[in-house]
Amino acid sequence: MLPLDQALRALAQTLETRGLRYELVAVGGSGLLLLGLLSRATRDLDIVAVVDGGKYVKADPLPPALLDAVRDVGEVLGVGAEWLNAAPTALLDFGLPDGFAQRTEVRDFGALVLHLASRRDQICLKLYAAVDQGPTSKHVDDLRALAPTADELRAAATWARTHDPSPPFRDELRSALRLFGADDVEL
Amino acid sequence: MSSYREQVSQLVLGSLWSMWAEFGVSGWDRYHQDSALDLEALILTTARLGHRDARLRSEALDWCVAHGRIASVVRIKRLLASADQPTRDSFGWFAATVNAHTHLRWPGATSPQAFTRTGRSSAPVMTRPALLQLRLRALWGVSARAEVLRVMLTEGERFMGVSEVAAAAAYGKDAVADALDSLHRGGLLEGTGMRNQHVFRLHRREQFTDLLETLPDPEHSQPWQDILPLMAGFMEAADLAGTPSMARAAEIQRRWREWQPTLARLGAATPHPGTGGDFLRGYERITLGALERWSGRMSSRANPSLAGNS
Repeated sequence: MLPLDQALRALAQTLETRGLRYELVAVGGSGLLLLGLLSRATRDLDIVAVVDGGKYVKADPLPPALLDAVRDVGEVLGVGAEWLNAAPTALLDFGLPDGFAQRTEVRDFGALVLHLASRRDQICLKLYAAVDQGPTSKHVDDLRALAPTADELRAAATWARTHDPSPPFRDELRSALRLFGADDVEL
Repeated sequence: MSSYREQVSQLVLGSLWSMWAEFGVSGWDRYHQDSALDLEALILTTARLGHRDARLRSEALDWCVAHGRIASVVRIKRLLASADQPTRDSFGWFAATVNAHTHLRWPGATSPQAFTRTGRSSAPVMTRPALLQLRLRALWGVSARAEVLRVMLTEGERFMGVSEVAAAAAYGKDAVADALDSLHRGGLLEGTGMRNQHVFRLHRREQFTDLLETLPDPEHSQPWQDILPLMAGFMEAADLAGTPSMARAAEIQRRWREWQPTLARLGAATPHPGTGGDFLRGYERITLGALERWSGRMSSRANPSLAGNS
Protein backbone atom coordinates (compact mmCIF):
# COMPACT_ATOMS: atom_id res chain seq x y z
CA MET A 1 0.00 0.00 0.00
CA LEU A 2 1.27 3.49 -0.85
CA PRO A 3 2.20 5.59 2.21
CA LEU A 4 -0.39 8.11 1.05
CA ASP A 5 -3.04 5.40 0.85
CA GLN A 6 -2.09 4.30 4.36
CA ALA A 7 -2.40 7.86 5.65
CA LEU A 8 -5.78 8.35 4.00
CA ARG A 9 -7.12 5.08 5.40
CA ALA A 10 -5.82 6.07 8.85
CA LEU A 11 -7.47 9.47 8.49
CA ALA A 12 -10.75 7.88 7.44
CA GLN A 13 -10.65 5.51 10.44
CA THR A 14 -9.88 8.41 12.76
CA LEU A 15 -12.72 10.52 11.36
CA GLU A 16 -15.13 7.60 11.69
CA THR A 17 -14.07 7.01 15.31
CA ARG A 18 -14.75 10.68 16.03
CA GLY A 19 -18.12 10.62 14.30
CA LEU A 20 -16.99 12.84 11.43
CA ARG A 21 -17.24 12.58 7.66
CA TYR A 22 -15.79 14.77 4.93
CA GLU A 23 -15.77 14.93 1.14
CA LEU A 24 -12.77 16.72 -0.28
CA VAL A 25 -11.59 17.63 -3.77
CA ALA A 26 -7.92 16.84 -4.34
CA VAL A 27 -5.56 18.12 -7.00
CA GLY A 28 -1.79 18.14 -7.43
CA GLY A 29 0.91 15.49 -7.34
CA SER A 30 -0.69 13.31 -4.71
CA GLY A 31 -3.93 13.30 -6.63
CA LEU A 32 -2.01 12.10 -9.69
CA LEU A 33 -0.28 9.50 -7.56
CA LEU A 34 -3.62 8.14 -6.37
CA LEU A 35 -4.81 7.97 -9.99
CA GLY A 36 -1.66 6.07 -10.95
CA LEU A 37 -0.61 8.85 -13.32
CA LEU A 38 2.53 9.78 -11.41
CA SER A 39 5.13 7.81 -9.55
CA ARG A 40 7.33 10.50 -7.99
CA ALA A 41 7.48 10.64 -4.20
CA THR A 42 5.09 13.25 -2.91
CA ARG A 43 3.87 13.79 0.59
CA ASP A 44 1.34 16.61 0.60
CA LEU A 45 -2.22 16.11 -0.51
CA ASP A 46 -3.52 19.39 -1.93
CA ILE A 47 -7.18 20.08 -1.30
CA VAL A 48 -8.85 22.62 -3.55
CA ALA A 49 -12.36 22.39 -2.11
CA VAL A 50 -14.63 20.81 0.44
CA VAL A 51 -17.81 19.26 -0.91
CA ASP A 52 -20.71 20.64 1.11
CA GLY A 53 -24.23 19.71 0.09
CA GLY A 54 -22.94 18.67 -3.33
CA LYS A 55 -21.27 22.04 -3.91
CA TYR A 56 -17.59 22.96 -3.89
CA VAL A 57 -16.70 25.48 -1.19
CA LYS A 58 -13.31 26.96 -0.43
CA ALA A 59 -11.15 24.69 1.69
CA ASP A 60 -9.30 27.46 3.49
CA PRO A 61 -9.64 27.14 6.37
CA LEU A 62 -10.26 23.43 6.48
CA PRO A 63 -12.74 22.44 9.20
CA PRO A 64 -10.92 22.47 12.59
CA ALA A 65 -12.01 18.92 13.44
CA LEU A 66 -10.56 17.72 10.13
CA LEU A 67 -7.32 19.62 10.76
CA ASP A 68 -7.04 18.01 14.21
CA ALA A 69 -7.44 14.54 12.74
CA VAL A 70 -4.95 15.31 9.94
CA ARG A 71 -2.46 16.50 12.53
CA ASP A 72 -2.93 13.46 14.76
CA VAL A 73 -2.51 11.02 11.88
CA GLY A 74 0.42 12.98 10.46
CA GLU A 75 2.27 12.96 13.76
CA VAL A 76 1.70 9.24 14.23
CA LEU A 77 3.00 8.51 10.73
CA GLY A 78 5.86 10.97 11.07
CA VAL A 79 4.83 13.05 8.05
CA GLY A 80 4.02 16.25 9.93
CA ALA A 81 0.82 18.04 10.70
CA GLU A 82 0.14 19.54 7.27
CA TRP A 83 0.38 16.58 4.94
CA LEU A 84 -3.18 17.36 3.84
CA ASN A 85 -3.64 21.07 3.24
CA ALA A 86 -5.71 23.65 1.46
CA ALA A 87 -2.85 25.46 -0.27
CA PRO A 88 -4.43 25.55 -3.77
CA THR A 89 -7.94 26.53 -2.72
CA ALA A 90 -7.53 30.06 -4.16
CA LEU A 91 -8.05 28.40 -7.55
CA LEU A 92 -11.75 28.41 -6.71
CA ASP A 93 -11.81 32.22 -6.81
CA PHE A 94 -11.69 32.28 -10.60
CA GLY A 95 -13.22 28.88 -11.11
CA LEU A 96 -12.11 25.39 -12.04
CA PRO A 97 -12.30 24.17 -15.64
CA ASP A 98 -15.86 23.66 -16.90
CA GLY A 99 -17.10 20.16 -16.16
CA PHE A 100 -14.38 19.57 -13.52
CA ALA A 101 -16.78 18.04 -10.98
CA GLN A 102 -18.27 15.60 -13.49
CA ARG A 103 -14.84 14.36 -14.51
CA THR A 104 -13.47 13.69 -11.03
CA GLU A 105 -12.73 10.15 -9.94
CA VAL A 106 -14.24 9.39 -6.54
CA ARG A 107 -12.30 7.34 -3.97
CA ASP A 108 -14.37 6.28 -1.00
CA PHE A 109 -12.33 5.58 2.13
CA GLY A 110 -15.40 5.49 4.37
CA ALA A 111 -15.60 8.60 6.49
CA LEU A 112 -13.38 10.30 3.93
CA VAL A 113 -14.38 10.62 0.31
CA LEU A 114 -11.92 12.08 -2.15
CA HIS A 115 -12.88 13.57 -5.50
CA LEU A 116 -9.69 13.34 -7.56
CA ALA A 117 -9.20 15.81 -10.40
CA SER A 118 -9.16 14.05 -13.78
CA ARG A 119 -6.05 13.86 -15.96
CA ARG A 120 -7.49 16.49 -18.28
CA ASP A 121 -8.12 18.92 -15.42
CA GLN A 122 -4.77 18.20 -13.83
CA ILE A 123 -3.14 19.23 -17.11
CA CYS A 124 -4.91 22.60 -16.83
CA LEU A 125 -3.87 23.06 -13.20
CA LYS A 126 -0.31 21.87 -13.78
CA LEU A 127 0.17 24.17 -16.76
CA TYR A 128 -1.06 27.11 -14.72
CA ALA A 129 1.25 26.14 -11.82
CA ALA A 130 4.19 25.61 -14.17
CA VAL A 131 3.77 29.15 -15.53
CA ASP A 132 3.38 30.51 -12.02
CA GLN A 133 6.41 28.76 -10.57
CA GLY A 134 8.71 28.64 -13.57
CA PRO A 135 10.36 26.10 -15.86
CA THR A 136 12.39 24.41 -13.13
CA SER A 137 9.42 23.63 -10.89
CA LYS A 138 8.11 20.14 -10.15
CA HIS A 139 4.96 21.08 -12.05
CA VAL A 140 6.82 21.03 -15.34
CA ASP A 141 8.03 17.50 -14.58
CA ASP A 142 4.53 16.46 -13.56
CA LEU A 143 3.09 17.91 -16.75
CA ARG A 144 5.68 16.02 -18.79
CA ALA A 145 4.70 12.82 -16.99
CA LEU A 146 1.11 13.41 -18.08
CA ALA A 147 2.26 13.62 -21.74
CA PRO A 148 -0.44 16.10 -22.80
CA THR A 149 -1.48 16.30 -26.45
CA ALA A 150 -1.44 19.59 -28.34
CA ASP A 151 -5.22 19.83 -28.02
CA GLU A 152 -5.04 19.28 -24.29
CA LEU A 153 -2.37 21.95 -23.92
CA ARG A 154 -4.47 24.32 -26.01
CA ALA A 155 -7.50 23.77 -23.77
CA ALA A 156 -5.36 24.14 -20.68
CA ALA A 157 -3.86 27.40 -21.93
CA THR A 158 -7.30 28.79 -22.69
CA TRP A 159 -8.44 27.99 -19.16
CA ALA A 160 -5.22 29.40 -17.61
CA ARG A 161 -5.85 32.72 -19.36
CA THR A 162 -9.19 33.01 -17.54
CA HIS A 163 -7.23 33.11 -14.28
CA ASP A 164 -4.75 35.70 -15.44
CA PRO A 165 -5.47 37.65 -18.63
CA SER A 166 -2.44 39.94 -18.20
CA PRO A 167 0.13 40.29 -21.01
CA PRO A 168 3.07 39.21 -18.80
CA PHE A 169 1.24 35.99 -17.92
CA ARG A 170 0.47 35.41 -21.60
CA ASP A 171 4.18 35.69 -22.37
CA GLU A 172 5.12 33.30 -19.59
CA LEU A 173 2.42 30.90 -20.75
CA ARG A 174 3.79 30.99 -24.27
CA SER A 175 7.26 30.17 -22.93
CA ALA A 176 5.90 27.29 -20.92
CA LEU A 177 4.04 25.87 -23.89
CA ARG A 178 7.25 25.99 -25.92
CA LEU A 179 8.78 23.60 -23.37
CA PHE A 180 6.21 21.06 -24.56
CA GLY A 181 6.61 21.79 -28.26
CA ALA A 182 3.34 23.68 -28.52
CA ASP A 183 4.41 26.79 -30.40
CA ASP A 184 1.24 27.35 -32.37
CA VAL A 185 -1.27 27.97 -29.60
CA GLU A 186 -3.35 31.07 -30.13
CA LEU A 187 -3.40 33.06 -26.88
CA MET B 1 -0.70 -13.00 29.42
CA SER B 2 -3.33 -10.32 30.08
CA SER B 3 -4.08 -7.66 27.51
CA TYR B 4 -2.69 -4.14 27.65
CA ARG B 5 -6.10 -2.86 28.74
CA GLU B 6 -6.29 -5.39 31.57
CA GLN B 7 -2.76 -4.60 32.71
CA VAL B 8 -3.49 -0.87 32.76
CA SER B 9 -6.70 -1.44 34.67
CA GLN B 10 -4.96 -3.62 37.26
CA LEU B 11 -2.12 -1.14 37.70
CA VAL B 12 -4.31 1.95 37.99
CA LEU B 13 -7.06 0.54 40.17
CA GLY B 14 -4.46 -1.38 42.18
CA SER B 15 -2.62 1.89 42.83
CA LEU B 16 -5.81 3.60 43.98
CA TRP B 17 -6.59 0.71 46.34
CA SER B 18 -3.04 0.76 47.66
CA MET B 19 -3.17 4.50 48.32
CA TRP B 20 -6.57 4.31 50.01
CA ALA B 21 -5.28 1.46 52.15
CA GLU B 22 -2.68 3.86 53.53
CA PHE B 23 -5.49 6.24 54.50
CA GLY B 24 -7.33 3.47 56.33
CA VAL B 25 -9.60 1.97 53.72
CA SER B 26 -9.86 -1.79 54.09
CA GLY B 27 -7.47 -3.33 51.57
CA TRP B 28 -4.81 -6.01 51.34
CA ASP B 29 -2.18 -4.48 49.10
CA ARG B 30 -0.02 -1.62 50.32
CA TYR B 31 2.66 -0.48 47.90
CA HIS B 32 2.74 3.20 48.81
CA GLN B 33 3.88 3.15 52.44
CA ASP B 34 6.91 5.31 51.66
CA SER B 35 5.30 7.80 49.29
CA ALA B 36 3.89 11.13 50.45
CA LEU B 37 0.30 10.77 49.28
CA ASP B 38 -2.11 13.50 48.21
CA LEU B 39 -5.61 13.05 49.61
CA GLU B 40 -7.48 15.54 47.44
CA ALA B 41 -5.88 14.32 44.20
CA LEU B 42 -6.76 10.77 45.20
CA ILE B 43 -10.38 11.72 45.92
CA LEU B 44 -10.78 13.39 42.51
CA THR B 45 -9.25 10.50 40.59
CA THR B 46 -11.27 7.94 42.55
CA ALA B 47 -14.43 9.86 41.72
CA ARG B 48 -13.49 9.86 38.05
CA LEU B 49 -12.65 6.16 37.86
CA GLY B 50 -15.12 4.95 40.47
CA HIS B 51 -17.52 3.58 37.88
CA ARG B 52 -14.88 0.98 36.99
CA ASP B 53 -14.69 -0.46 40.50
CA ALA B 54 -17.89 -0.17 42.49
CA ARG B 55 -16.29 -1.49 45.68
CA LEU B 56 -13.46 1.04 45.49
CA ARG B 57 -15.99 3.83 44.98
CA SER B 58 -18.10 2.60 47.86
CA GLU B 59 -15.17 2.24 50.27
CA ALA B 60 -13.67 5.59 49.27
CA LEU B 61 -17.05 7.28 49.81
CA ASP B 62 -17.33 5.54 53.15
CA TRP B 63 -13.93 6.85 54.20
CA CYS B 64 -14.74 10.37 53.01
CA VAL B 65 -18.03 10.41 54.91
CA ALA B 66 -16.23 9.31 58.06
CA HIS B 67 -13.04 11.37 57.74
CA GLY B 68 -13.65 13.92 55.01
CA ARG B 69 -13.27 16.81 57.43
CA ILE B 70 -9.49 16.45 57.14
CA ALA B 71 -9.63 17.03 53.40
CA SER B 72 -8.86 20.55 52.21
CA VAL B 73 -11.77 22.25 50.49
CA VAL B 74 -9.38 24.87 49.12
CA ARG B 75 -7.25 22.22 47.46
CA ILE B 76 -10.29 20.36 46.13
CA LYS B 77 -11.47 23.62 44.57
CA ARG B 78 -8.11 24.32 42.97
CA LEU B 79 -7.56 20.80 41.68
CA LEU B 80 -11.10 20.74 40.37
CA ALA B 81 -10.56 24.02 38.54
CA SER B 82 -7.65 22.54 36.60
CA ALA B 83 -9.30 19.14 36.08
CA ASP B 84 -10.88 18.01 32.82
CA GLN B 85 -14.65 17.92 32.35
CA PRO B 86 -15.08 14.15 32.98
CA THR B 87 -13.38 14.58 36.35
CA ARG B 88 -15.54 17.59 37.25
CA ASP B 89 -18.67 15.70 36.22
CA SER B 90 -17.74 12.61 38.20
CA PHE B 91 -16.73 14.59 41.24
CA GLY B 92 -20.09 16.34 41.23
CA TRP B 93 -22.04 13.33 42.45
CA PHE B 94 -19.17 12.16 44.68
CA ALA B 95 -19.10 15.50 46.49
CA ALA B 96 -22.90 15.62 46.64
CA THR B 97 -22.99 12.15 48.20
CA VAL B 98 -20.39 13.11 50.81
CA ASN B 99 -22.21 16.39 51.53
CA ALA B 100 -25.52 14.56 51.88
CA HIS B 101 -24.16 12.37 54.66
CA THR B 102 -22.00 14.89 56.52
CA HIS B 103 -21.95 18.55 57.47
CA LEU B 104 -19.28 19.13 54.83
CA ARG B 105 -19.79 21.46 51.88
CA TRP B 106 -17.46 20.14 49.22
CA PRO B 107 -17.47 22.26 46.05
CA GLY B 108 -18.77 21.21 42.67
CA ALA B 109 -21.54 19.04 44.14
CA THR B 110 -24.41 18.00 41.87
CA SER B 111 -26.82 15.16 42.75
CA PRO B 112 -26.01 12.55 45.39
CA GLN B 113 -26.07 8.84 44.61
CA ALA B 114 -27.42 6.03 46.77
CA PHE B 115 -24.93 5.27 49.50
CA THR B 116 -24.82 2.97 52.50
CA ARG B 117 -22.06 3.09 55.07
CA THR B 118 -19.87 0.00 54.95
CA GLY B 119 -18.05 0.82 58.16
CA ARG B 120 -14.99 -1.11 57.04
CA SER B 121 -12.62 1.87 56.95
CA SER B 122 -10.53 2.79 59.93
CA ALA B 123 -9.28 6.20 61.00
CA PRO B 124 -6.06 7.25 59.28
CA VAL B 125 -2.92 6.45 61.26
CA MET B 126 -1.23 9.84 61.10
CA THR B 127 2.22 8.49 61.88
CA ARG B 128 2.37 6.51 58.66
CA PRO B 129 5.03 8.03 56.40
CA ALA B 130 2.58 8.08 53.48
CA LEU B 131 0.21 10.29 55.49
CA LEU B 132 2.67 13.13 56.04
CA GLN B 133 0.05 15.47 54.57
CA LEU B 134 -2.49 14.52 57.25
CA ARG B 135 0.08 14.61 60.05
CA LEU B 136 1.05 18.15 59.11
CA ARG B 137 -2.63 19.10 59.03
CA ALA B 138 -3.04 17.61 62.50
CA LEU B 139 -0.22 19.85 63.69
CA TRP B 140 -0.82 23.04 61.68
CA GLY B 141 -4.47 22.69 60.73
CA VAL B 142 -5.96 22.17 57.27
CA SER B 143 -4.10 25.19 55.99
CA ALA B 144 -1.66 26.61 53.52
CA ARG B 145 1.06 26.32 56.17
CA ALA B 146 0.63 22.54 56.35
CA GLU B 147 0.80 22.25 52.55
CA VAL B 148 3.85 24.51 52.34
CA LEU B 149 5.65 22.35 54.90
CA ARG B 150 4.69 19.18 52.99
CA VAL B 151 6.16 20.63 49.81
CA MET B 152 9.31 21.75 51.61
CA LEU B 153 9.77 18.33 53.19
CA THR B 154 9.32 16.37 49.99
CA GLU B 155 11.25 18.71 47.70
CA GLY B 156 14.57 18.30 49.46
CA GLU B 157 16.92 21.10 50.48
CA ARG B 158 16.68 23.49 47.56
CA PHE B 159 15.22 27.00 47.87
CA MET B 160 11.79 27.55 46.31
CA GLY B 161 9.84 30.67 45.37
CA VAL B 162 6.19 31.49 46.02
CA SER B 163 4.90 30.45 42.59
CA GLU B 164 6.68 27.13 42.63
CA VAL B 165 5.48 26.28 46.12
CA ALA B 166 1.93 27.38 45.28
CA ALA B 167 1.87 25.14 42.19
CA ALA B 168 3.26 22.15 44.08
CA ALA B 169 0.90 22.72 47.00
CA ALA B 170 -2.16 23.37 44.78
CA TYR B 171 -2.89 26.44 46.85
CA GLY B 172 -3.36 30.09 45.95
CA LYS B 173 -0.27 32.27 45.66
CA ASP B 174 -1.47 34.84 48.19
CA ALA B 175 -2.18 32.19 50.82
CA VAL B 176 1.16 30.52 50.14
CA ALA B 177 3.02 33.85 50.32
CA ASP B 178 1.40 34.53 53.71
CA ALA B 179 2.23 31.01 54.91
CA LEU B 180 5.85 31.27 53.76
CA ASP B 181 6.16 34.62 55.51
CA SER B 182 4.62 33.28 58.74
CA LEU B 183 6.75 30.17 58.76
CA HIS B 184 9.83 32.24 57.99
CA ARG B 185 9.13 34.67 60.83
CA GLY B 186 8.33 31.70 63.07
CA GLY B 187 11.76 30.24 62.38
CA LEU B 188 10.72 27.08 60.54
CA LEU B 189 11.92 28.38 57.18
CA GLU B 190 15.02 30.22 56.11
CA GLY B 191 14.70 32.72 53.30
CA THR B 192 16.89 34.60 50.93
CA GLY B 193 16.44 36.95 47.98
CA MET B 194 15.16 40.46 47.45
CA ARG B 195 11.79 42.18 47.27
CA ASN B 196 9.35 39.94 45.41
CA GLN B 197 11.90 37.29 44.63
CA HIS B 198 12.20 35.63 47.97
CA VAL B 199 12.98 31.93 48.06
CA PHE B 200 12.68 29.64 51.04
CA ARG B 201 13.62 26.25 52.40
CA LEU B 202 13.34 24.44 55.69
CA HIS B 203 15.50 25.80 58.47
CA ARG B 204 17.17 23.17 60.65
CA ARG B 205 15.68 20.47 58.51
CA GLU B 206 17.06 17.63 60.63
CA GLN B 207 15.52 18.88 63.87
CA PHE B 208 12.22 19.37 62.07
CA THR B 209 12.22 15.89 60.56
CA ASP B 210 13.16 14.46 63.98
CA LEU B 211 10.04 16.10 65.35
CA LEU B 212 7.90 14.39 62.73
CA GLU B 213 9.73 11.07 63.32
CA THR B 214 8.65 9.04 60.27
CA LEU B 215 8.97 10.58 56.86
CA PRO B 216 8.20 9.25 53.38
CA ASP B 217 11.06 8.36 51.08
CA PRO B 218 11.75 11.38 48.82
CA GLU B 219 12.52 8.99 45.97
CA HIS B 220 9.01 7.58 46.17
CA SER B 221 7.27 10.88 46.81
CA GLN B 222 5.74 11.70 43.48
CA PRO B 223 3.70 14.78 42.54
CA TRP B 224 0.47 12.81 42.70
CA GLN B 225 -1.67 15.81 41.77
CA ASP B 226 -0.06 15.57 38.32
CA ILE B 227 0.36 11.82 38.14
CA LEU B 228 -3.09 10.65 39.22
CA PRO B 229 -4.92 12.49 36.39
CA LEU B 230 -2.38 11.03 33.97
CA MET B 231 -3.08 7.54 35.31
CA ALA B 232 -6.79 8.12 34.75
CA GLY B 233 -6.04 9.36 31.24
CA PHE B 234 -3.94 6.28 30.43
CA MET B 235 -6.73 4.06 31.71
CA GLU B 236 -9.40 5.75 29.62
CA ALA B 237 -7.16 5.68 26.56
CA ALA B 238 -6.78 1.93 27.07
CA ASP B 239 -10.49 1.62 26.30
CA LEU B 240 -9.61 2.43 22.69
CA ALA B 241 -8.04 -1.02 22.30
CA GLY B 242 -11.00 -2.21 20.23
CA THR B 243 -10.82 0.57 17.62
CA PRO B 244 -8.85 0.20 14.36
CA SER B 245 -5.17 0.53 15.13
CA MET B 246 -4.42 3.72 13.19
CA ALA B 247 -7.53 5.47 14.51
CA ARG B 248 -6.48 4.43 18.00
CA ALA B 249 -2.96 5.72 17.39
CA ALA B 250 -4.27 9.07 16.13
CA GLU B 251 -6.55 9.45 19.14
CA ILE B 252 -3.73 8.58 21.51
CA GLN B 253 -1.48 11.08 19.73
CA ARG B 254 -4.11 13.77 20.38
CA ARG B 255 -4.24 12.87 24.07
CA TRP B 256 -0.46 12.58 24.27
CA ARG B 257 -0.26 16.19 23.10
CA GLU B 258 -2.76 17.22 25.78
CA TRP B 259 -0.70 15.42 28.41
CA GLN B 260 2.52 17.19 27.40
CA PRO B 261 2.24 20.08 29.90
CA THR B 262 1.76 17.58 32.73
CA LEU B 263 4.55 15.38 31.46
CA ALA B 264 6.77 18.45 31.24
CA ARG B 265 5.88 19.44 34.81
CA LEU B 266 6.99 16.01 35.95
CA GLY B 267 10.39 17.07 34.73
CA ALA B 268 11.22 13.61 33.51
CA ALA B 269 12.13 12.08 30.18
CA THR B 270 9.04 12.04 27.98
CA PRO B 271 10.01 10.08 24.91
CA HIS B 272 7.72 10.23 21.88
CA PRO B 273 6.14 6.84 21.40
CA GLY B 274 7.51 6.53 17.85
CA THR B 275 5.99 6.68 14.39
CA GLY B 276 3.96 4.40 12.14
CA GLY B 277 3.62 0.84 13.31
CA ASP B 278 5.99 1.48 16.20
CA PHE B 279 3.74 4.15 17.71
CA LEU B 280 1.30 1.95 19.59
CA ARG B 281 4.00 -0.48 20.72
CA GLY B 282 6.06 2.46 22.00
CA TYR B 283 3.08 4.05 23.69
CA GLU B 284 2.10 0.84 25.45
CA ARG B 285 5.67 0.22 26.58
CA ILE B 286 6.07 3.76 27.94
CA THR B 287 2.73 3.86 29.72
CA LEU B 288 2.99 0.38 31.24
CA GLY B 289 6.49 1.22 32.49
CA ALA B 290 5.25 4.44 34.07
CA LEU B 291 2.19 2.81 35.62
CA GLU B 292 4.30 0.00 37.06
CA ARG B 293 6.62 2.52 38.61
CA TRP B 294 3.79 4.64 39.99
CA SER B 295 2.10 1.50 41.32
CA GLY B 296 5.00 1.19 43.77
CA ARG B 297 5.80 -2.32 42.58
CA MET B 298 9.13 -1.52 40.96
CA SER B 299 11.99 0.89 41.60
CA SER B 300 12.47 4.11 39.65
CA ARG B 301 15.87 2.89 38.49
CA ALA B 302 14.26 0.06 36.58
CA ASN B 303 12.23 2.45 34.45
CA PRO B 304 13.34 6.06 34.30
CA SER B 305 10.83 7.13 31.62
CA LEU B 306 8.02 9.38 32.90
CA ALA B 307 9.56 8.77 36.29
CA GLY B 308 8.74 12.08 37.93
CA ASN B 309 10.89 13.74 40.53
CA SER B 310 13.18 10.89 41.35
